[in-house]
Amino acid sequence: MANKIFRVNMSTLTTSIEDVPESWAGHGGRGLTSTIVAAEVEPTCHPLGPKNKLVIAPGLLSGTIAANSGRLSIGAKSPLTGTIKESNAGGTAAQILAKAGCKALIVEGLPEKDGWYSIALTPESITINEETELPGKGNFAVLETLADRLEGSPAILTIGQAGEMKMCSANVSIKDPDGNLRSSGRGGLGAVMGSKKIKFITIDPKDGKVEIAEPEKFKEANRVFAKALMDHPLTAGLGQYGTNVLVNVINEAGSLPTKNFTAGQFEGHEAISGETMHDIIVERGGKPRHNCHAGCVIQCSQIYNDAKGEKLTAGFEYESIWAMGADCCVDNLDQIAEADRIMDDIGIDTIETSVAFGVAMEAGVLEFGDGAGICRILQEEVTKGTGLGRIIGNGTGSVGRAYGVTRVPVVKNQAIPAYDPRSIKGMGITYATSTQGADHTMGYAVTANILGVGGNVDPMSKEGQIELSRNLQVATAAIDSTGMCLFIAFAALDDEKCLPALIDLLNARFGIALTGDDVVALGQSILKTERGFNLAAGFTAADDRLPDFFYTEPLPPHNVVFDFTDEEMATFWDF
Amino acid sequence: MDNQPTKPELILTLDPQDLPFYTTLLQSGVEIKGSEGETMALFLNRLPGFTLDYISDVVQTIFLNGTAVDDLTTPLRGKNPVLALSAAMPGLAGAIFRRNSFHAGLRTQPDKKVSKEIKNRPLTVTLKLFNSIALERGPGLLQMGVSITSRQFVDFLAKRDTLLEKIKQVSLANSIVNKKDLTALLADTKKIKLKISTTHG
Ligand code: SF4
Repeated sequence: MANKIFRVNMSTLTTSIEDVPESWAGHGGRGLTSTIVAAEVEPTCHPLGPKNKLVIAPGLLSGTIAANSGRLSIGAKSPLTGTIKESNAGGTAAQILAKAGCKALIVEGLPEKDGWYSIALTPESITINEETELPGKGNFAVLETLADRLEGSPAILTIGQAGEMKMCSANVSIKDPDGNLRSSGRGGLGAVMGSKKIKFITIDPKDGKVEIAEPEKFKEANRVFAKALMDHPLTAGLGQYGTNVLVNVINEAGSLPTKNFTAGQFEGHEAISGETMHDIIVERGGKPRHNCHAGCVIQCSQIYNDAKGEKLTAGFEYESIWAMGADCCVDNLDQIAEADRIMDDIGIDTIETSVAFGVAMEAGVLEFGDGAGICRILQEEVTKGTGLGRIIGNGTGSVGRAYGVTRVPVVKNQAIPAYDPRSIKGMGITYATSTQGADHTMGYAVTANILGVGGNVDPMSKEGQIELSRNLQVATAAIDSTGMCLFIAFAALDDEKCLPALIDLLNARFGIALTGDDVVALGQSILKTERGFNLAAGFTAADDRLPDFFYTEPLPPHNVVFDFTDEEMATFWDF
Repeated sequence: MDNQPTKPELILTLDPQDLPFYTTLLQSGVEIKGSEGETMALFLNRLPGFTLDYISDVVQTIFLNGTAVDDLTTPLRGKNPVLALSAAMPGLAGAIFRRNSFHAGLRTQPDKKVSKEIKNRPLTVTLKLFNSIALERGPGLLQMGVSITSRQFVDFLAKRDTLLEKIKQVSLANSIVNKKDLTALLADTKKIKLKISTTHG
């Protein structure tokens, strides 16, 4: 089935299915969403206005049997950061969209009249339908209702009340194979979907399949690739403890931002650690190991049950647990899980919202440690869109501005996640220079030798550290285009067969002959495209910096500050 | 290894399948005697199951007093060094802290003054075992017996009340006691030597 661009115009309520322009053909995932946003969205437009577009694209390998290839990229101009944005997540949508022959779905315009809509995509058609039953409902109600209403197991993308109210932290939520939710959380893309009055999107692939140019080569490359992933020791660790295994280690390093970034260690860390969480999950009959999409061999997700053994939440990640835990000083995993479930239901980013709560606590809106208070405010204020609810739902920066707090941990107005840049300066470089605001997934660990991304400068020098961060961001942009989960990076780092096998997969899928250099060039061009959009939107080198307090407030226990100057940081873009 | 006679010995008897749950206690740290100047590798090598291969191949992340360490021959110093051991960790931060990682250049190096002088005096190491290291090497340590504060143990049970139910027998200072009385019995005790034995049936 030939890939097509599916386009929806919400101003005219019309749709079209178009051929893929040649210049987009080699792109997928983040590379494609950023290319389309840069080509079709006016950089200075209002993110919630008619000129912004929501672009949804599976990765280059999505829909195939390639292990861990089911991540979906969603892009737009972000209402939170004002920059270009790509946010990717698991769930069933990437694979199903690829099988439906959709290279990208572009949603543009705004409807003139009030009312809500849904979009249904199949290989042959894309339709806009009026929706009256589900507006105002949370994401779980959407999934339940659609399970009764629709036949088969279509992919579902939905927004909760946060997206409907165009809150800047709103998610686009994606159904996973077991009816849980995965979130395209960062940057408020759910608000863009809400601005276009789309409550949900369904995708039915019918009997569509992804064509493989060289099936035997593809199978062999996948065998090598999957084996490298499964043999890696981190795979066992991630499967056992999930990403929350990081709590103890980051706390030990003094890098666990605590009490709105005023300390690097949290006294209650043991109560929220991955080790404790694992035991609780096992004791309560949950699942310590679970996948966010079929074909994932690492399975870092989990099902967390309450004390009665009923499912409370799924996909309980380190960054979310850190944010509600250490940053808000809540040392109760059950309260954190309850807040996680509510945020999934409202469809709001767990990192942005929890860091916003940390700032609200500093402002005195509620006490540090008040986990029950967080749940109450989420349900009574954010879900209902009260004044306080909207201040929190619009993110960390919004809370800081509303209450006059100066310790506001954001870059380009996006909350800084889980690793304090004062005590892990490499993260600080990535947070400051990323094209998308503070984001820990923008510069991941990718092999130095095979892609040649390690850098040639002494890594102990500032110049070398900036070069290394740049090269990690280049490699990450390329991986984000394949539909691969970033956790493949560990095997890519250690197993010399892993990354060549990934390139072989791409070559066999499309009948092409990419080399490692081509992959690096792809990553560089994606970063430059994104940076070009941001410059045209009015961003400058002065925006590539951390908030003042990181340079002036020493972080206990190591009492370190972030010490890169703006001039040093500006060299990031010298390539 | 730990010969402080003043600490009462607390022996818990468990079914073998319940022992792994207790290894999570080791995330808080246990106290083990060593001597100043001894290398980390030699110190660890004296503990059950910590072969040199295990230390160099599996223990991928080590913190000494909160600072990531690459070199296993780093000597232990000071009165109460804190040594934390973990398997390899995910993410960029995980890669940065990993031993001998290519990404180690992205660490922040705290400006700590370390005295060059090493006296060969005894010291007490607080050893923390995280994740799979606790699961794999914790049972051996707990069966050998470890010194911990009573508060750590009481807090652990308070947060994980189902674990109390798993205990089959409790012996404190050579007397069999009711497990429900443990918190009260330990109220005035600062440190205990905790030992876990397993039984079948
Ligand atoms: S490793 Fe985790 S995030 Fe990655 S695909 Fe698997 S379940 Fe999803």
